[in-house]
Amino acid sequence: MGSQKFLTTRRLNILSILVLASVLIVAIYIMRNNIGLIEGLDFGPGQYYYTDLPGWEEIFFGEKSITLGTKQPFLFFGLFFLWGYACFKFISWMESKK
Amino acid sequence: MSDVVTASKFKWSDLIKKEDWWAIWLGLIVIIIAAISKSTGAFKFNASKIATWGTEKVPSFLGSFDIASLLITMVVLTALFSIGLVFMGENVPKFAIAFPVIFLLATIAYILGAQATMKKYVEYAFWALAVGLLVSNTVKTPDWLKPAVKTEYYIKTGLVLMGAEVLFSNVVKFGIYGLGIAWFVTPIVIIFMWHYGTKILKMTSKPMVIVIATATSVCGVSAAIAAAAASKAKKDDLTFAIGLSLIFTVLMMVGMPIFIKAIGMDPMVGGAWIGGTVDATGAVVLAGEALGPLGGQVAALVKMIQNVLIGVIAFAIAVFFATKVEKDVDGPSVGADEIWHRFPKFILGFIGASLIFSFIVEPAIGAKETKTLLGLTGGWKGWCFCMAFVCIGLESNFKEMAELVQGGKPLWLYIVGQSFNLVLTLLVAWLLLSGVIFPIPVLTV
Repeated sequence: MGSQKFLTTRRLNILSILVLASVLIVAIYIMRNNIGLIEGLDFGPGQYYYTDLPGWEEIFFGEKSITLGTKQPFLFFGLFFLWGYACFKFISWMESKK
Repeated sequence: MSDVVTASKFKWSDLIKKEDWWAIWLGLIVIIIAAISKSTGAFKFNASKIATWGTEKVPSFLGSFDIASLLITMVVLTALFSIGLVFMGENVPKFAIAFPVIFLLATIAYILGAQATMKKYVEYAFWALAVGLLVSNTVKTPDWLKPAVKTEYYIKTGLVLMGAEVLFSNVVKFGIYGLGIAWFVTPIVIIFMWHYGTKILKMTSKPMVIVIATATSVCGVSAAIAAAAASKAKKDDLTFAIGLSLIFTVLMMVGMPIFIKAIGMDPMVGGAWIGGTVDATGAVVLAGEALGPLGGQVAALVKMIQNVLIGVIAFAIAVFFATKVEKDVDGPSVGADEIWHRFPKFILGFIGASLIFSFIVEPAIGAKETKTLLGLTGGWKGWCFCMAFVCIGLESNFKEMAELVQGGKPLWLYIVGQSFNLVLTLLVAWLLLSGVIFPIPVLTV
């Protein structure tokens, strides 16, 4: 039983290394060849947060809003907080279970 | 130096003696000075920026920085962090001697990250970790440098500054569609990954599980930083989460638009799918744009809403860890007093800055002016995070990190969690944007 567990762990380790190595190789290939970038847009995955993007005001703002549901702010934000609270209670309940 | 990110029991004197509170005060000081600079124009308060190099315009890294500006930035940061350290009773002269080296390493990381290709793919976080790890695993972090290796101090201050950028008013930008895609899915993915990581994979580090889960479901690096600080994660936990997020983001950014176009998916649904699943915001906008202007706009809006959710989620994680995770399973329930003691106080600064900018500053001075102000504070935030990542590297060694790999469990947590995220987000995006429940939104681009 012990040796079987050892073999399973070993196989999992090897599989993990293979997956990670493959992902790394593909990622390096993509970066090496500038794949996925768009000419004229001076950013990429290296810009993590929306305010990191050059010209983020134009990208995220302007006359691009969709107002469905937002004209009832109590309902809109009520749903927002209700859903957050329900999920918080659920994960708390899960954690309190042994 | 503690291996953990955060604070302890509260006394009123903590307001001027504890790091968490000083992170709040320093963030506030930077915001106030930036506001004065912007409104009066009497002086400039820009943190130094490293220009992109390796281009026709700036071929060499030597042309990417301005030494005078770098020196001013270093002096300002030394002064700011020293003020807090004086009140915290730490040795400021030793800090002041070591700090320029941390700043220098951060500058090197910034310069490496500013190389034309690197800037677009991995930027400073990767290089800051790499530079720190290189030092600690070769020449070892010297003792004289350690007084300035203050990861938590830099991270918390950076997070308070980032709070100002979490403009809550943006949650409404894509109406009920954005709320549904970004907010319905995100907590479910976190709960799923929490269950999978703690109960199925039985990972020993619960903070690592929540940090990876938050990075996967919210927005990668920035969410990981906030979750790590809120859950008192170890520095290595954060390193793993960031590493996984960075690598997979590159793949998803390229792979998802190809797949979406290959199966002929509607660009609006595809854009929402990308916005809800790809970690880094820059990658989301690019992948969305690859579908066309409509896909790009929907992807950007969904991601921006997720970005804004960091504040709420970081707060929830801090409360969850204070009330449930750190609590003795067989012990009595935790009272409000104890929750307050355990609660990482800087989160209040993070949330406070978000609320002030969302509901006071932005309505008062307008969106355009707010963004200019955030342009000033954002530069200081970047330096705080960059120095924090350098310090994480300086405090980590490969031997200890190898022990944390736990048979590849963090990797499988990310892969399984992200796969679940992909399926659920696609389902919700399709339900909300295909006309099944609500009318298909008309978005002018």
